[in-house]
Amino acid sequence: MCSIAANHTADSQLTDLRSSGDDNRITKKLRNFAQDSTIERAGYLDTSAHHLRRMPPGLQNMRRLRAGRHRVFYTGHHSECSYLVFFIKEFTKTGFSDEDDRQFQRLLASALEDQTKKRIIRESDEEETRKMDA
Amino acid sequence: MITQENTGFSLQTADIDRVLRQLSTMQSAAQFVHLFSLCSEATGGYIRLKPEHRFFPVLIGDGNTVIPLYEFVEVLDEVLDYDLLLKELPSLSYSHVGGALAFLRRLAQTNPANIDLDQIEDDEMLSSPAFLEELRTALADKETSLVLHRG
Repeated sequence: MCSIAANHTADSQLTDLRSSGDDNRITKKLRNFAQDSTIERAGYLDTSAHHLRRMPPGLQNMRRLRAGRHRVFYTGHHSECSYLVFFIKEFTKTGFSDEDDRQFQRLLASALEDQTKKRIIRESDEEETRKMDA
Repeated sequence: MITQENTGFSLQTADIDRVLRQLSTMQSAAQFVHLFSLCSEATGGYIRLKPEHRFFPVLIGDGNTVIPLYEFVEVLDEVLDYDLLLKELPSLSYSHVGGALAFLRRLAQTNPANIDLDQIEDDEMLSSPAFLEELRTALADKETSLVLHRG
């Protein structure tokens, strides 16, 4: 069973989540996930799903766990049998308007914006004709 | 190579390959929408697949509030009492439950255009120097303040 701790920054962020009770839920999950890892056996915190690709230097070893809508950033590995939570990106619950979160629409908009940059596999017939005429 | 007499029309093998790949992609997309649509119909039609949401499975709440199914799974993860679940299924561990919920969340993000919302979220994070700096500062904070579990 491996150990897990939070640094001062993450601890303060957990304190911010106390009013909703999410601090307890997150710490309980992290505690139990760490408990599933041993020095010989990789656990849930070690799975590749939590690795972040293309991170800049200095941040390449960090991992990110989704705890509901919150994001927990941590380092460590089962081979060290120790993990450190260093940052929590909180999902801010404001009450009534929580559902009306615009994140999905914003991500969709980004996806659509990204599509415009995609390779053209086939031009329209008009465009093909225009190019042939030119 | 296919050619048509007197028209100058010709189609290279590479072009045919490209068309076949496009058709295959379109077929996969149609099969996905068909499968999810069947599942939705069989379960009361609460899960909606609409072109304006790029066919991401969503729930439409009061006042036309759009709740993507993957977010529904995230909230489920927030409120679910893992201990109660494990009482019913004692052969499983916390990791199993976390893994199963992550799988369901990922499944709920399936869409015919293969838009990877997680990747977009990560790209946004990577393109925010302020957030990366915040992470660096947090990572440099070596003061352990809370021990969640001792090995």
